Amino acid sequence: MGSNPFKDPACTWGNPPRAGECDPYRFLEEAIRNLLRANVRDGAVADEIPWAPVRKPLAESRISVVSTAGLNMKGDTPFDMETERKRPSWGDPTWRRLTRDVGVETIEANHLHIETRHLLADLDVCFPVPLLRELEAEGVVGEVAPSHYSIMGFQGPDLRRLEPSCVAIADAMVAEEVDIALFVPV
Amino acid sequence: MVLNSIWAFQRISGQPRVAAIEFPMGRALGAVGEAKLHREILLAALEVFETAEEPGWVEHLPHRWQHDDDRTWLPDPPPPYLLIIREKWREMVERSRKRAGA
Repeated sequence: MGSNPFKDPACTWGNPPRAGECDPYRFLEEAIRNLLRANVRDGAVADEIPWAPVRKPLAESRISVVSTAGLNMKGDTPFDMETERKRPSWGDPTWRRLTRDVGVETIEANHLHIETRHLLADLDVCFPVPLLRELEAEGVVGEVAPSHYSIMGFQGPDLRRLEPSCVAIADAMVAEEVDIALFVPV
Repeated sequence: MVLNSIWAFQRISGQPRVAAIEFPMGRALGAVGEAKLHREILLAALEVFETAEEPGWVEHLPHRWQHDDDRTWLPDPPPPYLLIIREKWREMVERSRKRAGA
């Protein structure tokens, strides 16, 4: 059973996690854990949350997946790791489109902050488009969208640089009449 | 709809619907080859999409990571930014110790 943590004055935001809550910091290296805890604790509380009501059953919905794993189709320009290596506070702010028939044979991943060999062995670990195709064939989801998307999750301190890509992805989803955007950050 | 390990970001990012999962980044649906688990988690996340009652909703999925001896969620070599963060944290701790000792 879920809840709205914004309406819960006792919410600890995972620091520490309460009974029944996931520990959001468990699988983070110590320095990153400390940094993110401080960011969550000291950052401005979100005051405007976008919301679109559910309009169709899942079995009639078109779904698209968004990843932050730095994915590109083979043949497309990969995300820029060389600049990030030279400028460690910089992340590639561009975006890529991936097709609905994507698989481990047709994808590349470039990301300095996660171990990419897991997803390159089995996309469903974090980019479940192959699994969604199965669910489509079974009638569980209505349709897997023609396009799916990736950005680079690491962006350094200024996230505003990512806004043009976010707008472009949203516009592309609207053009393809996507009903559900499933975001799986890495 | 977000399937997210670091669900606490919700406080500052304000995502409409979150399925929280206590799995390593990069493997939010499970380890390589765990097809049954991938399916369970994906269906659970999609159910959160359908049942979330209001903006900001968070539901904590009950699935537990079964590979505690697997440390491959830490990339090797570490990213350059991590080295900067580690040094900054070390400096902060050192300053705090000096202030405490002063």
